[in-house]
Amino acid sequence: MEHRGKGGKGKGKGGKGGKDFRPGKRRDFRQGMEETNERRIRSYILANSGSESDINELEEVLKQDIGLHTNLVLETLLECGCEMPLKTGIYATVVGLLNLEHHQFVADFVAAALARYTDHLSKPETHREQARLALRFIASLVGVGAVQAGSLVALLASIVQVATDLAEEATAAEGCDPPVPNESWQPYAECLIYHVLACLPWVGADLRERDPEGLELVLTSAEVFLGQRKRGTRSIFRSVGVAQQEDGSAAGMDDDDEDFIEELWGRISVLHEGGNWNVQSVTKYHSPFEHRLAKAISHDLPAITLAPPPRPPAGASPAEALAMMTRMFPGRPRLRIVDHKKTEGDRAPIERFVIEEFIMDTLKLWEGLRQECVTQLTQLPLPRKWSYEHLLAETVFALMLTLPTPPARNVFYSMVLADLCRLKGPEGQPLLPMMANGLAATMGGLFRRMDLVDLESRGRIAEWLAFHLSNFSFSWPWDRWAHAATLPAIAPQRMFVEDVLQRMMRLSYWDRIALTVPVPLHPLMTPRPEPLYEYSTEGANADEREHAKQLLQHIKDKKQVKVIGEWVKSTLIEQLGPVAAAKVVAGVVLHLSSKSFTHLSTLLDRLGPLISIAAPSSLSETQGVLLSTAAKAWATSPQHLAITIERMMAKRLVQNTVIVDWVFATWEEAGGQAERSLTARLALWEILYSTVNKTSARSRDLKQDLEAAETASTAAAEGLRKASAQAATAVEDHLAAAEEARAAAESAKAETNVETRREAAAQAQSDLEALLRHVLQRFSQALSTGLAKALEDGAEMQEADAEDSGAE
Amino acid sequence: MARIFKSLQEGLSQYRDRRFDGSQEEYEACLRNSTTVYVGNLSFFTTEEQIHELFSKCGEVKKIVMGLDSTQKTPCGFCFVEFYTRADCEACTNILNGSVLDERSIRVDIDWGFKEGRQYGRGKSGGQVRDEYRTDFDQGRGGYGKIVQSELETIQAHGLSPMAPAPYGGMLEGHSKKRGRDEGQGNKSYHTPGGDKRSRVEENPRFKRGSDEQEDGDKA
Repeated sequence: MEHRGKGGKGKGKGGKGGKDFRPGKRRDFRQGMEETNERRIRSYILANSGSESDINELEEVLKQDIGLHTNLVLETLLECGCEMPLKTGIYATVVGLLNLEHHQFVADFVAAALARYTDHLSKPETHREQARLALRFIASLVGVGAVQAGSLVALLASIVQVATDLAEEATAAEGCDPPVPNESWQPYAECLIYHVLACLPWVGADLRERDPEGLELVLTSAEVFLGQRKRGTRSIFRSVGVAQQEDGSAAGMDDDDEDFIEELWGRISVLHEGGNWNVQSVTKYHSPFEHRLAKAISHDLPAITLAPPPRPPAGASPAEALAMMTRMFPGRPRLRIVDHKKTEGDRAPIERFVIEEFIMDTLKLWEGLRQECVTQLTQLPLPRKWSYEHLLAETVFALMLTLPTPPARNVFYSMVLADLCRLKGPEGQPLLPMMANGLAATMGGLFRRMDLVDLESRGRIAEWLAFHLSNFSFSWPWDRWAHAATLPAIAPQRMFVEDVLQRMMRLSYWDRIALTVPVPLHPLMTPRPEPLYEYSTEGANADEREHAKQLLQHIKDKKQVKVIGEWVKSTLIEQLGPVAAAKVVAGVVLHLSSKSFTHLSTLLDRLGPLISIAAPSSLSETQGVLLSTAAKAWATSPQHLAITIERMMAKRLVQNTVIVDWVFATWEEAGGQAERSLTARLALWEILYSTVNKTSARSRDLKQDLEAAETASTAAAEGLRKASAQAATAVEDHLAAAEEARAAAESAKAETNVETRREAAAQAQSDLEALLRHVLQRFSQALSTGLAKALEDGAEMQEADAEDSGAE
Repeated sequence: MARIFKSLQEGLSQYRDRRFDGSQEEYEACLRNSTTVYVGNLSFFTTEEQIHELFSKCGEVKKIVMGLDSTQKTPCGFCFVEFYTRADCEACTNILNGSVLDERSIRVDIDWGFKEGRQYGRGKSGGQVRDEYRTDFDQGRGGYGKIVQSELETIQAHGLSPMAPAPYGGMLEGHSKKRGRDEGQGNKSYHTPGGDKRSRVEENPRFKRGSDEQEDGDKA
């Protein structure tokens, strides 16, 4: 391009994009060209429908680019192959076609794919689905002749072997004297087996054709593993429990009791036993090219050694170790609540598994682009006429209810579900006509089994339903649930409806919901939110009332906060005593700030010092008064109460441990659930939850700050090292010396910064630990003191238990 | 996957605040680091608590600034929500854009950051510019747009039927095309079927009037 001087026409190899850049500036032009190429190649690879012509076209384009942009093509193709869960077969076909002429490129490609698998498997963060999809992609390369069937079998067998070794090691340890009980090996081993079994629908047919003994080998060794694992290690993470018989044993061995590995194995076995590995939901994109692909020379997968299996830290208790490993290698979310006829129809068992994979992977990998994610979910590459709305609804719910924490925010799944109901095609026809039915069936199933639904999960379902109805004009067949109002106060179904109504009111307003909901359900609604100002009523203590009036006047006169503070100290506390003084100050400030969230925030900022004077953190008694005053002011509205307490905590006017104590004290004070007011019942748990969450978020933020500061400090130290080296070589160079001094100052500053942040982070961490310990203590106290009562009232005991595990 | 896909998308936000004091680069830098979202197409009656309830589903809310009519100091259909973290802010634009609040489909977009003064509508009559030129009847937003309203009043004053062919149609269309979004993106108007019958003139049952403490005694 250099011979074209200024004003050259600039129509180089860049093609379409080249003309957008001024040829006079050569560097910009080159950069522009690269960007354009990158965009062009990426968009070509990304936008591929999988039709014969599309695949042909992509093959042609990539052939031209492979020589020039080898890495870009390789990386993009690999990323798409592994992260476009609906299109694995398309990219595998393209790789297969490229293999015909660019053998070395595909050799490198296969090695890179394998490296991606091991890499994602060993990362501490949760990238397991990335590893699984990489393995699936590698497996798909067998069918297109890019990977040797035998070498894939060797890979799969070696992965299964790692799992089996772990199982044997654990069995041996249990046989010792004394036995060493250990289940913490299982999550990782199950993860490996899951990866292997999960790629079989994509490669089973090809393996059966090319290496039937190999397939047999993989399956038998997997079966050996299944015989060695323990069932039920994940049962505490079930969002819907199993019905218990009166003697406490599980009622029957219905398939609800199966775990995801067993279930998957069952579905695979059907394929194996039937000898027919044809899976309809896995599209054979490569069939039009079979005659060409037959000439391919396939690659051997390089031998790999998996990183040594991760182990829990030495000294961890068995339960702790299991919990840690389960968190690192979570199982596959699973929910079976809708009639099988609706979710699976008369399709082969394996199809459900494949469709679930499509749904879960799309939701995970496209989470950051909701609209694109939803579009893909409406276009799953399945045979025409297959209706999958019920399965889609149930699967999204399975993810949403994942314990202890779902992969994405609850509201993300809620919004996706709303989108799926709403989306219309170009002619205005709904894209998924049965979606609302699918959701209704799932909700109905969950409501019927509400007594078995985990407490945390119940809250999430309520949150979803309220959000969903708010998106669809609140229309819902409430009459079907009218009986909930006749149930006892602690009946799960009743509590669920209360929760839903409450959340609906918050998203809308009281009158709107009261109009929507049939009258029999009105007792389950909290009253219209109305702040209560204690000192406006006659019944209030006259002394306090008089002082409150004075304080209100001081504030209205816009006196300086400092001046009012003096008055609080010298007059209010002196005359009323600390507790009543705190009550008056809190009462007045909360009265003034009751108008809106912003009023609350601004007034707590402005008048916060008064609260700190009247209720210092050293006097926990007065701090507790802040909370009980807030509870009185907002006796009608759990939301306002929760927000008020959250804001007071955010402004550091009240300590988190005080809030926890107050929550438990209020809980115990009111005695049984039945006597407690609806507001308190709804608010207490939320307040406790938000207190713990806020403390943990603080600690997390400070940890991130610390990491950023450390990175900056390392960079500054590096800068200093370079500057010193330069100053040392250039003798008597003033500039270099000055530079060194500057770098030294910067590095020292960064170092101090790290120190302060480290202290802050450590402080926040110990705060969090102290708070969690406190919460657990209060829980165990509440449980042990209330044991006698709880024995009479078994349901309440379960409640607390469930809350306990949810809090963790 | 989103990485490749995102690399092919253009721009961080469709909206460019024309009153931003700085270059495009500075504007984009603000957008990249901001933890604030702009929320548009709200009903005039939506309260801060409703907004808090919806937006706190994406993360802890630090601050809500209601968009106000610059003359009447009442909500005029938009707000800013500030989060504590960038991640929550990004999740919020991804998740809540297009969701329904108070039976209106709201728009959520990254905002470059709230500055005093931005809470006021920029239309001549005090509200949002989009509400000046709107020609549909929108119950959640005080009925017709401001210009249409004043023309309707003129018509009524002269004893003409308000159902007469609209003399304002042509003029308005020309304007709305030119203006584009000021506080909000695009000029799409949303009509709420079956919305409640309240209008701007009535007392808003959910908005407690007045931001001054002097009026504390009254409960709306």
